[in-house]
Amino acid sequence: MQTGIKTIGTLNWRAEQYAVYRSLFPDPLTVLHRAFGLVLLIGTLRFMARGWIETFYLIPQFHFSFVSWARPLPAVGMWAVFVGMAIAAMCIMVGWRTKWALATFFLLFTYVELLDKTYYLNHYYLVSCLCFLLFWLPNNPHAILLTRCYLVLVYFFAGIAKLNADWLLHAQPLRIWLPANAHLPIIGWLLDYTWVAYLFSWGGALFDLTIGFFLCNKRTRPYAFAALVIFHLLTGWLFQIGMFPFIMIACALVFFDWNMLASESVLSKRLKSTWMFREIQFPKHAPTKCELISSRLLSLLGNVVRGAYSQMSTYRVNSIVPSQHIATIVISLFFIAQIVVPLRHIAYAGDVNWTGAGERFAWRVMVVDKAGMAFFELTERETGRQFSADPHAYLTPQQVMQMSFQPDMLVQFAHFLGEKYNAEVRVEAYVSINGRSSRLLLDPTVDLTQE
Amino acid sequence: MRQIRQKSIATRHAPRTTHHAHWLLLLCISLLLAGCGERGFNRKAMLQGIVDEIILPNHALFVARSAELETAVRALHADPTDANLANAQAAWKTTVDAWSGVQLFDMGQINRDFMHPAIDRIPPNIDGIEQSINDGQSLSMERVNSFGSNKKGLPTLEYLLFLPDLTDQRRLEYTLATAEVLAQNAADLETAWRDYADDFVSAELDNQNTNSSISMLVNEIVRRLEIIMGLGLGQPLGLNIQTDGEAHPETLFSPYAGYTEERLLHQLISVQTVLDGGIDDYLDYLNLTPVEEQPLSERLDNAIAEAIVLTGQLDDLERRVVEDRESAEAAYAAIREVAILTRVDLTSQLGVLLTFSDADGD
Repeated sequence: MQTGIKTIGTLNWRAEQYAVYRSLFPDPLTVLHRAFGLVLLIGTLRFMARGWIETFYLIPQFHFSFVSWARPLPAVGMWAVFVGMAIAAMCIMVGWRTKWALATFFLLFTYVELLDKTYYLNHYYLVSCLCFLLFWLPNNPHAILLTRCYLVLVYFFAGIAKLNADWLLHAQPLRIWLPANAHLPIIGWLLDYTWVAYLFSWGGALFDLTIGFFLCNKRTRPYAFAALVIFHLLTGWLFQIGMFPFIMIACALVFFDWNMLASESVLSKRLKSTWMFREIQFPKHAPTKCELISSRLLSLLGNVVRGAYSQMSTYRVNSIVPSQHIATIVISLFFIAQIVVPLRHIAYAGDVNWTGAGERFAWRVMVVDKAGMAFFELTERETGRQFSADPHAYLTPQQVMQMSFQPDMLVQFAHFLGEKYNAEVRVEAYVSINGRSSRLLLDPTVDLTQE
Repeated sequence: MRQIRQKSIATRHAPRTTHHAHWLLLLCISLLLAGCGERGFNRKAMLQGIVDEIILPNHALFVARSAELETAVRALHADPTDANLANAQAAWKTTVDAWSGVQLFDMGQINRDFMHPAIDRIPPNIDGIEQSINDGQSLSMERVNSFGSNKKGLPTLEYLLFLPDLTDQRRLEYTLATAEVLAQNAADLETAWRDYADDFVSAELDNQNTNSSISMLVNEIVRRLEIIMGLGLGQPLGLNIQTDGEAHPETLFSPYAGYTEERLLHQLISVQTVLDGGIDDYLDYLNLTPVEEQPLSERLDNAIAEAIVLTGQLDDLERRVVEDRESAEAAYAAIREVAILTRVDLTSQLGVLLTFSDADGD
């Protein structure tokens, strides 16, 4: 990549010319790395600044870990993990040792996510998956295609999850969430109307189902991107969803053919004015109207993105990926899993939105409103003495809140109590979903320590 | 050839204009609907109503009752007779009743200024109180005011008035100073609420923002019910936390006056008043309960009415939490029902996030 002649279209370029070209007009994956790295960096710093390392991982005495080995480190260790993540994010952003940085970020971030189900968010899972994918992707045009496919998949599954009676026929849970924002300026008054909730529900489902395909199509891409930005910023304004909108907007940048635009349109003028390219004869295309609009839009965006790092930085690849064959197998398995895992709830009994079985890792983003309250009744095995346990004595309020409507977490905590008191543990968990009357989530007569 | 092409272009464009027309029509309909549809719920008016009709009058009543209590204790201090003692005890009870109508409104600036604990912190520090009575130093209002909150306020007065020693002059002095401090604190609290009222009504941020008034109010209702359920009845019954599973009558809210059931009852009534004072209308306006189910406002109404009836039937709680527990357990179950309905169903339908959640969702 760094030596010899590089052919772009009909043009043969020297390595140094190519380097300048790449820095001025990076390929979509490079743009993705830059933007994604920036968002990860901000997200990591924000997490630290909010004191969440302490409140999420250091203060609680019990954790709903995904796997038994995932335990929080002592304070110094947790801080080191987050500092490591920040450094890795920075490396991803500037394109220095990108593969190492992606591997590091993936491992550290995923470790943190595995510590406690309480803090599971779909977009955290997306971050883990994207880091994993970007690490294994080869450095060729297929990589761009595969990344795009992956994002199309994410949006599409998010759309499929919304195709249920509550969402489409009852505009739930948006009928709850929107009026709660009726105070907002400009659009607030609209949010009180039921038809607006229906409009948002149907519009949201349609958006999720189609946006990926509109982004893939060159003609619709600029409009789709504009719609995407508006959609994510709007939801970010309405709901408390943290970095989610920015992660999605950053990801969507990969749909643009930054390098193609450069050689085919007005942007090439800039390249031609660089001394290294004076002797090169650029092919004369008459750019289409759509290309002109999108290139103008993108040159603006490109300047913003490019401004963040040195112009001459080069994009290192393939430094640690051992074998293309292994990568191919890993990526194939990854995609199979990405299709099977979100659909696994079909194999489980009951409605996934109520039971929660198969809800995680499935892009079921914002599809239900749930609240719960759980009472733990203990029976000592030796004495038969009965008493209640207050989860607040062991859990933070946020842990209690998340646990109260998630069966696997209730079972996990029941096991903890059962071991602590050598007791049978039964749970009365009352849950309300999408405004319905609260009812029992689990059979209160079952000893959960046997589950 | 050229003609055909033009034609095809023309036909391609034709549906587009009708498309635009459709959108325009949709927009017009939308605006029409927006213009003449339901007008939205005036949340500010609801809050203003709760302030004007419940919060401020309840505070005024509490100030008046505290002043009466002070007067009664002053009479007792001047002339320590059994009759004056009975008067002061009765005044204490009516003051506690009034206080129960105020306790729910410990929020915003009031909460940040720690005004409530100075009036009512359970349990009183008996050793500390006895020590101060016996330490020979001045028992002026100023000095008692400087004491920690568990050595003044309503629980301290309860201890002094219901385990009295009318021959002990210093005890009477402490009682008087405590009553004076209480009356002063009550007046300060009312002033603080009057100052805060406008902010409270206008702080109509989003319900997810914990600072919004609706959110604070709902949070306080949830918290109050859980206190009534958990600390008020659950703890004495040995039901709520990992106690030894035994009854603990000594943890009753009002062990000296035997007034716990009344305290619980009046607190429940105050929750009911707020629910009836606008929150039920707001719920009906939101109309989020599926049609096949009973509306939440009605379910809440029934549940709290039931809890009030059963709590009202409680008597001699000190004994009832230990033996013949049926009535206390029934009241506990009914209050628990209301607690579930508020924490789960009410917060859910109002889109209210419970205070502690400083975290993202997705």
